[in-house]
Amino acid sequence: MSQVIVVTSGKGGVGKTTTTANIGTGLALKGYKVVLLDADIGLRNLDVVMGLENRIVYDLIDVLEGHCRVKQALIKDKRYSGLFLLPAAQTRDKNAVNPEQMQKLCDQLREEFDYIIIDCPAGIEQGFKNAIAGADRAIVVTTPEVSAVRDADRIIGLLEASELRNPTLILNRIRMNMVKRGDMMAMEDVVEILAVDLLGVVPDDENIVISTNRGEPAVTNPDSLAGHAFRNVVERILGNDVPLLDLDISEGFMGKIKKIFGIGN
Amino acid sequence: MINDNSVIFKGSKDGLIILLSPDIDFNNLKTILEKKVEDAKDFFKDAKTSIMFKGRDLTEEEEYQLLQIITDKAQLNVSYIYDEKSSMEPSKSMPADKFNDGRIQIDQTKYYKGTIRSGQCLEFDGSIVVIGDVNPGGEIYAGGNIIILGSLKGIVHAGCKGYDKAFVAALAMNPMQLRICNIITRSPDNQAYNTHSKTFPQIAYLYEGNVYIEPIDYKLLDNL
Repeated sequence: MSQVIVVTSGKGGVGKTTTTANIGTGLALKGYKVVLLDADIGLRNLDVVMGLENRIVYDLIDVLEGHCRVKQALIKDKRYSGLFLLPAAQTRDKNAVNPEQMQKLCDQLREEFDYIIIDCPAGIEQGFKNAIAGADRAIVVTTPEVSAVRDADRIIGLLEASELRNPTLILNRIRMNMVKRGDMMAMEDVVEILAVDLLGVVPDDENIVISTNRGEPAVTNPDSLAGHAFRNVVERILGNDVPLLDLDISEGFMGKIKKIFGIGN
Repeated sequence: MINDNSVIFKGSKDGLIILLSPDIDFNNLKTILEKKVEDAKDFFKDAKTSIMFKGRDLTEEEEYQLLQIITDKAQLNVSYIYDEKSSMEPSKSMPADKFNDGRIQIDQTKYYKGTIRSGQCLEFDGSIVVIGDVNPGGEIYAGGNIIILGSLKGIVHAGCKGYDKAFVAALAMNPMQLRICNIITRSPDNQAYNTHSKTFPQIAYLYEGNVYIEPIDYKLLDNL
């Protein structure tokens, strides 16, 4: 039974693409057949984060307009055999696609894959409507900032209006030391405002920047705390009950190690 | 019964327009065309022109048959076939044109000054010269050669309509993807994302189905 999951946020820059790449890679690591679908037409990034940008020949628009078959546009990941990417077009915009086409495409992909993960563009316009059209469930990504939480709230409302009930939340880029000082919203505050189930908490981690630039998702890096958080998210998507990472202790522990080697800040 | 108005030749600034009646049977149309071409044989002889069929929806097969008649009977060199649709919206990358044996008008050149950024696309049937950079995600499609007086970091397709002698030259050659004719090559993986190492001019060309990228020197240019 395959599942179509849309990763969305409303606000830009909170980590939708990074989350999509990491969840997808994590599921592929578990042996599932996964396709990542970039719905951010005109501002595609997922191919760069996955390190597959130089392999693109056909894209989403070519598939939807019938210039090629779906199989021709799918790019096989260079590390994991069960992982594929369907890239967005860069020279067009969101209005080149409509929700019916996306729904049809998702249904087509269901036959081949266990998980279809859609990277939604920022905003609530056509691109958002396209991205959620074929989805079974939604993951809302937010950061512990008032503006991001406000947008996440709006998105959750729109998702519920579109029959995508019970979205789950990923709280990204949290810094425990700032939360302790009272300078950042705590996990509990965000969950209280948004009133949805928490799928995971991902700490702010330098490794994410490094891995994003290299095109290697952090989930594969055993030393990355954020990678560990994403591995837990994957477990929860699969229905396993995993306790939340104790970021405080882990960060202290990691910090100590870093200090020993003189690379801490 | 031959109706003389079913096939009409018309000249235009772009070449020859052939008006076809949509009402008569295709085989009839062929006979009429054949006769008309025969009549005008001396006029057409060894001329070189482009052709547009108008007034009737033709399948590819039908179009090919009509072209055969024209080229056989009149010894007319058809350099290019166009229709109203394609002259308005050129398609992204067309397959090699089967009617002109690879003889494509590449002697025309388009100059572009400025940076081709991500999402921007430059298309031209002839050659393209860019005075500026092509950034990652920028695309250039040329029927002929592509010359970048700057850094090439995007996607380029030289000879995109089947011309295999096309080349790509750039002052700094770091393309995401480089295509010549029907061969696609991509940059190596694990390339550091902030290197500025390769900054000498290089040229890419097709030889026996492989794309070669080499520094530009006079010996190489003699052999191209």
